Amino acid sequence: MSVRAPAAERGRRIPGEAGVWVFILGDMLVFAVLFGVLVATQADDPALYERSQNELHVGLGALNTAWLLTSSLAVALGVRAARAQDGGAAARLFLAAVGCAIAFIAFKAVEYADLLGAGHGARENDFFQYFYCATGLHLLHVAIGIGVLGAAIRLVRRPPLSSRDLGAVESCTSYWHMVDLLWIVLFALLYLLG
Amino acid sequence: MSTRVQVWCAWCGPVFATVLFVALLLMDFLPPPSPGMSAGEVAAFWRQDLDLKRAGLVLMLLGSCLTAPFVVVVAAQLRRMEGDRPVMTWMQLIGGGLGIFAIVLPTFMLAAAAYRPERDPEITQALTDLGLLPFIGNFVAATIQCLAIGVGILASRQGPQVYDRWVGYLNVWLAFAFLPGGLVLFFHGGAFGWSGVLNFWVVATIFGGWFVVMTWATLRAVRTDDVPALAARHRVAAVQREELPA
Repeated sequence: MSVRAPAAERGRRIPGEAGVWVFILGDMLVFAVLFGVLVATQADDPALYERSQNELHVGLGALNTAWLLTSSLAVALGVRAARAQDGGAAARLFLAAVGCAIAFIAFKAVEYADLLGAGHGARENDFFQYFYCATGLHLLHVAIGIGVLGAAIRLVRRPPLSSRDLGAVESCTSYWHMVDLLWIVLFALLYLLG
Repeated sequence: MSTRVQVWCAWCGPVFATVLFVALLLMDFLPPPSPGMSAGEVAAFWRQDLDLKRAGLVLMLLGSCLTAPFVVVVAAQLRRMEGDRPVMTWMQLIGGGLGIFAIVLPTFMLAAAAYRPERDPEITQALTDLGLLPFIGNFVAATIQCLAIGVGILASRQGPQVYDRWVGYLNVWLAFAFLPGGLVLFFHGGAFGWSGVLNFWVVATIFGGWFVVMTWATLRAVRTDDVPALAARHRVAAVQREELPA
């Protein structure tokens, strides 16, 4: 029987609390089904999908992708600052990420208003049903994410940061990276597929 | 309460999930009749194998009784984590109590549809809507219950670790995962309709999976629950209050 060293000694570990990954993987699993639905909708009627897709503004979607990628970078740098016990820098970086998240929501609101103004509602066809539901559910994740990042800001403002504090901060930021990741896939499927 | 009763209560959970599955199978509700069906199609659906469908509805009622013991054993174990001000335990009881209602109410709406299927199809369709909209779309009970269990586990750092923390995260996630059920109100088909991939199949799977995980976790919790020691402590307290002879 071979004796294996604990994960930490092998230099490998899970960021944040292990239990958070149940939440994250569960969420990604449900979104994976949603992604499958989108791909099936496209395969079912590529012409309709493309026609509806052309009504979206790729520029707005790309800009929103940029907001979230920037926020992820800020969050990653914030975790590094927190590990270096620089709570002030970490708080500023997390706040910057919250700013990006608010910009994302604002841009999304503009996009929804524009689409609805042009008469493209959720009941127009399957594409728009999934467009509104998928982006709406993702938007809910962004809104929750703002609260989660807020919790991380509160944590890093109370130095010194214990390893449990750092674990909690990593749990929060892991959630945020998931929100970013889900959007990147949604962006590709809704705006670019086909 | 004795360990044995708690174990029986915990097993009521998966038995309920199984009974619900069989009931839905009898009713030809896997998946339910599509929300896009015309009134005539809905009426025709009910007229087919009518008594089998009625039997399935009665089975749903029987099954719903089994959720009560399951909810209380989860409450008893969550209470061990929470200590003296068990607010999440109480909230879990409210969620679980509403859960019974969340099954019984739609069941009787659907029972009314199955009661006189020869009537005007428009009425049968309306009754089916009244049954299926809350059956799939009523996330209230599950969200309250899962949120209570999740927060109860995650916020209890002082007491014994009765449930693992990942069980808490799982429940918080489920509390949110049931929310898209509300989208059934908007669509007459597709993945978010009441018979769709997401709002039926995915929700049914995670609902069933929740019972499996919670039963396993609760049985583990009950095993670590030292009931004889608890009884001894109660006895000491009673003696101190001079209710029992020393």
